[in-house]
Amino acid sequence: MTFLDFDFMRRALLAAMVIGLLAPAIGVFLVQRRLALLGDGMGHVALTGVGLAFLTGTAPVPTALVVAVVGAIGIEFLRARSRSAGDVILALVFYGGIAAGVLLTYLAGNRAASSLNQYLFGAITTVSGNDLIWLLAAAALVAVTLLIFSREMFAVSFDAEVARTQGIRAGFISAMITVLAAVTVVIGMRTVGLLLVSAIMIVPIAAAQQVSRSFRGTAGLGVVIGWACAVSGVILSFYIDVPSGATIVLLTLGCFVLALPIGSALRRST
Amino acid sequence: MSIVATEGLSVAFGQPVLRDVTLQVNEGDFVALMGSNGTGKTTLVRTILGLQRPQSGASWLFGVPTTRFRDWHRVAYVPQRLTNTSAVPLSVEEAVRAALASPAHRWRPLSRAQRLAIDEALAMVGLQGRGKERLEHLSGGQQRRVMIARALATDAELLIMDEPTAGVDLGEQRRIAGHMRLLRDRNVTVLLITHDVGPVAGLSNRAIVLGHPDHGSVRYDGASPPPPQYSEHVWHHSHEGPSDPGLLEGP
Repeated sequence: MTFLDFDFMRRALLAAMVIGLLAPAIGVFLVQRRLALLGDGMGHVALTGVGLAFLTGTAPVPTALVVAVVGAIGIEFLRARSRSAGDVILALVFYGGIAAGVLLTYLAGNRAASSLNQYLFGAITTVSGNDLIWLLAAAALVAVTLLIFSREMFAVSFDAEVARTQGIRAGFISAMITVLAAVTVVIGMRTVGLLLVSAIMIVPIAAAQQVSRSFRGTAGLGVVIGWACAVSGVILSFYIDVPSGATIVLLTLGCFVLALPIGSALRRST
Repeated sequence: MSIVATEGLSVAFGQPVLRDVTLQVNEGDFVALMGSNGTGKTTLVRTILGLQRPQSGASWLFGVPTTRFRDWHRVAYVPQRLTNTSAVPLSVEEAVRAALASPAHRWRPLSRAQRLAIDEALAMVGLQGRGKERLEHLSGGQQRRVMIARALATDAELLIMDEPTAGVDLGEQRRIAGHMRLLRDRNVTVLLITHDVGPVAGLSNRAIVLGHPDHGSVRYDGASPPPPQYSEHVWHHSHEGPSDPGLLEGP
């Protein structure tokens, strides 16, 4: 009997494949814009959505999606309008998000509080059929947006002012990157967990960056690493009964540690 | 028709940075924009490009008010900062390719002609066959040449460059001047911020010298090089080390 004989495993595996592919594809833009911690913050904001879902009895995934997207737009708005430094604004939104999430969950009662861990750290047994439909729809939306706008997103991440002089609406594209990050965080919520999902956006890119010479190469290798770690992390967590999120993230960190000496060897040889 | 025009342009960041700048750049002009640190040279080009809102006055690109200008493919801008600070590795070819990104080409992949233009542009600046290399592994001068290749690849009619020769040795400056001559020969209009009287500034047929904005920023607007009494605005500061962008030149 293998893991594929279980419905929940098939769903978890599909969810992991999707997040493994998408997260690094968005993450490469976050790394280039020096917003590597943005995904982490979006996870905090999404937690408010989860708390709200507990309290109102709505489905957690769509509720978290809506709250995370609203939070993403709010962050972009504050970043553009406010005089505070960008990271201070991020901090305000992040801590507000996690505090509101915990408070709402507490108000929703004991059962909600005990399942909070699953959302924070991911659990393969929790991906329902309904969740999967939401995740796949959101993933399709992210993928199509990436395909259409990736060149403009690249130009804006490279140099937003120069992009503006190419006729690109840099503010709009930059908000789009943040919203895509928010959606991706919610896609990864079930398998990787809100506190760890940002890692699968950033760590595979950090590993790929050690060995590649181009943006495209970094993104491509990052996606391969993210995908492989997400899939093998879910399978491992089935056999050795450990949380899937932590397993996936530790695997990506392992790839990073492996990439370091390979990278310096490559640099010496050229 | 003037390619760039401004009228009574004033910009302040708390205190005045530019005051009452009225100028016209005509087709085929190669203008050296000069002035010591803090006289608002970078602010002026950023305002011309619509990246900085003026307190008063107006500017036009190709006869269209900058705020309503849409034909951005006619413009290429090379800022002063170098790009070797890219967080993600960036290849030379990608740095040039980024210049071709535009909302107009959203749906189409790069055409054969565009890919050829990238290769040709790199060849013209003496970097043929080096497109796959990491941009940050190139020297400062070579990176400037990549930025010029960006302009060459886009077929822009107006090139605005901020100090393309800052921190670059004389040999490399001569080479850059050679590539910029190609642009001039294509009848590209060039507006160039420069501190140096070196080979690149030597290509200019016109000079505009900015001074402190107390009573109007423009000190001189005429043939290049400017007469010696204006040069002190330009050259009296140190040439050593990386040039200080100046506190007044804004964000």
